[in-house]
Amino acid sequence: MSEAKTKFAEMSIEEAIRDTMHSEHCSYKSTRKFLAGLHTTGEHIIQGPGENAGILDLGQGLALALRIESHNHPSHVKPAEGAATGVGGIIRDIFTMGARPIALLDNLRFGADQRATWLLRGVAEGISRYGNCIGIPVVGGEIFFDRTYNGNCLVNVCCMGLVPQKNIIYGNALTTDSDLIYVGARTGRDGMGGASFASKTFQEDAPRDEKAIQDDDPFLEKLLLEACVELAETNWLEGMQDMGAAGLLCSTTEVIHRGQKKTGLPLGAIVDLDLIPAKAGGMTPPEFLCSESQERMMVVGKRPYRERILEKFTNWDLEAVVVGEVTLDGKYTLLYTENGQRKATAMSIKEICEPIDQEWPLTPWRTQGGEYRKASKSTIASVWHQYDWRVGTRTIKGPNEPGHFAVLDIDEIGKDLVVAWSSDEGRSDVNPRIGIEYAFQKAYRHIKDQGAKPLGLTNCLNFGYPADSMGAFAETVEGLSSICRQYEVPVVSGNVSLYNGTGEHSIKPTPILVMVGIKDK
Amino acid sequence: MAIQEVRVGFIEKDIRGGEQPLEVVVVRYPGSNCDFDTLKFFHRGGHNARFLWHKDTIVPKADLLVLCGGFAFGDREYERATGEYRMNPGARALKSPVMEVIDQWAKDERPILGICNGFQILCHAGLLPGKLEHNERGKFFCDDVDVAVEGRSFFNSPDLSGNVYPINIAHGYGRYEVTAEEYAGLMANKQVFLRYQGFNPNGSVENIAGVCNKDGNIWAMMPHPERIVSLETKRVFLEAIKKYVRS
Repeated sequence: MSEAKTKFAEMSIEEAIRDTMHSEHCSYKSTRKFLAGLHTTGEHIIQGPGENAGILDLGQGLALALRIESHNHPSHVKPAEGAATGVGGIIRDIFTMGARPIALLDNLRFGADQRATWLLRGVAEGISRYGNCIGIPVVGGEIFFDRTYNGNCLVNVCCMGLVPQKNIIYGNALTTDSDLIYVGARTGRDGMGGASFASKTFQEDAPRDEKAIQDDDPFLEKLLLEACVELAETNWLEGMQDMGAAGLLCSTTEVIHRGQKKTGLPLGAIVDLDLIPAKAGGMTPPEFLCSESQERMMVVGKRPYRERILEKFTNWDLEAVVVGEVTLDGKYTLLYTENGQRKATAMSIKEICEPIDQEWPLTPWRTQGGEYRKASKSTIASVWHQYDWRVGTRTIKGPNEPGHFAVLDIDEIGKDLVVAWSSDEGRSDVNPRIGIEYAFQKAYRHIKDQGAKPLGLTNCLNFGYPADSMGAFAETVEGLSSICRQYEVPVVSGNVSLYNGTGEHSIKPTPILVMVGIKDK
Repeated sequence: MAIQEVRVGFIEKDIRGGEQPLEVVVVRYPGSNCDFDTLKFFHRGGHNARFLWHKDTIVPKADLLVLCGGFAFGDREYERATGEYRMNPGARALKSPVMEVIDQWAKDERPILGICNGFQILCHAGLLPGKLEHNERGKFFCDDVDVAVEGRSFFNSPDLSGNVYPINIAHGYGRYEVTAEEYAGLMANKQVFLRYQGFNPNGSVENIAGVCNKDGNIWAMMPHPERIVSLETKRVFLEAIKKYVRS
């Protein structure tokens, strides 16, 4: 593990918190107000955007957790590790909700240069080694090449999982005195500053920063998955949050902030950084807070069940430690040792989580033009052959047959799930609104052609630099909002990735949609 | 366990197992990922199947022990100093307490079925000859491939012998290797019961996809029978196991 100093080593706790929470990745400061206009309600929605994953009602007490995420920048630097940890992140989002993941999709974009071949090989290897090990089938995806991705490939991974409705876990704390339990991998300096890394161009932030890319350990994730899905069967938990971007800081403040909004209580938290399991020596409090080491979870446990929760993790050979508790003072209090002295720093949760906005000019999109090419059949086959696409034995129509959709057996309720994905950066490049409408209709048609009823969709909005892409972003979101309303297909979750570009050139607007529908057998 | 009920609550009526269901035990390592699929395979055939946790050491009362597919312990062997790792599928499973049960079971000459990672574990344990190496092309490979049943046939079943079935494979380390001497022994005892037909996906010697031990009680294959799509084919595979156990 790298022992080199990170940018957080010299920061004060307050500075580190502000730096991280105000990153685009954590705050959605540039896009928040547009996303608020999305159509997010409907009869099948159990949970819309704002949680770790959206949840759709499949009927008969069963539900589907669904989300897509990007891991573009890390994958462009270290393709295998970047893609693998991207898969890990989205899988965690699903089982954090108590759901057992049943399928993955990978939507990939590469440049039209030499590096593209090397990147594709690495990305496919990364997705393969992570998904296969855990045993989640990759049931579909797509690969396109375009010169605007030369300096910035896109790796979008979608995951979905099944959860009995009574087992759903939300990312919140609800009552004072509950335990904050840290579980999974130890915290190191890997992935340090990934949240701000994902929010900058390679050019402006001394490029190719390998330190910001985490190591992947799919086996550890598999242990977490099994333990969490088993815990979802109990009533011992109050909530759960995965430690992804901005790790410990984001996960602990998020569960409290959501809890405040849900209960109206002035919830707070005390976290003792001295208790965090560390894999690197001499880490500073800001480093503990902002590390993005993978395969870690924050569990909000009900105090009376503490021993049983810890025992469950031990059974799966996982390290779990009570590192703090929920309070009623509205504060985020950190305990730590500095120069041999125990210290405490407190900030208000409201202040930390206060939404911020950044305004950008909505310049009309300037068409980039140029070739936009689908990967050859043989390239596509060489990729999906590396994925275990039948594990779980639900794959009725997988990547072995053509078509941008998959059909999965949901035998628990005697139904089939149809999953369709779509995007069209060629059309989006000419007119972002027409592009997203076309993509929506294509996915919608796939679902309808299979005789299924569309339930909802998730989306990953990949755009370039805000200075020239926010106009296209606004048009895309407006277009998506109105067509979702028109067809009554709500958005349940999503992800935004900005600052994708090569040199000064933004990528073409690349909004990727994944729509799901259900049908009788 | 309630999770199992969710996953396997619906038994298909077309492939009932008849009046005498088998008692099947599926060894579950923390990284087994075909564990639920394998349970479902037997449940749907009308048999009773349950997990045996890898930390258990009590020999269960059952008719068949199954080592299912997956990555028992993640398959990685880390170099402490550098953090680098190499893959060695199945090796760490030998250190699990449940190995005692498997050894005892084998010693008693009771039936074992190893699938994919289960095959790799049985080879590491020395319960089957040969070893499973990295696929010839150096990559994980998954697809439905044709396999031909021959030799003693799958669980000695005359019903399957000579037939070709499409069955899914999904592995990075499925290239079976034996010495010339071992191969001669396998052939003399008709221990090779499954071969890839028309297309060898991993470079296995002599297209071998499945072998049994000399006594014919330990059966292992890289293809996943629990993933068979055709209900009729699933039925004949389950029937073969049942007849073997009941004979």
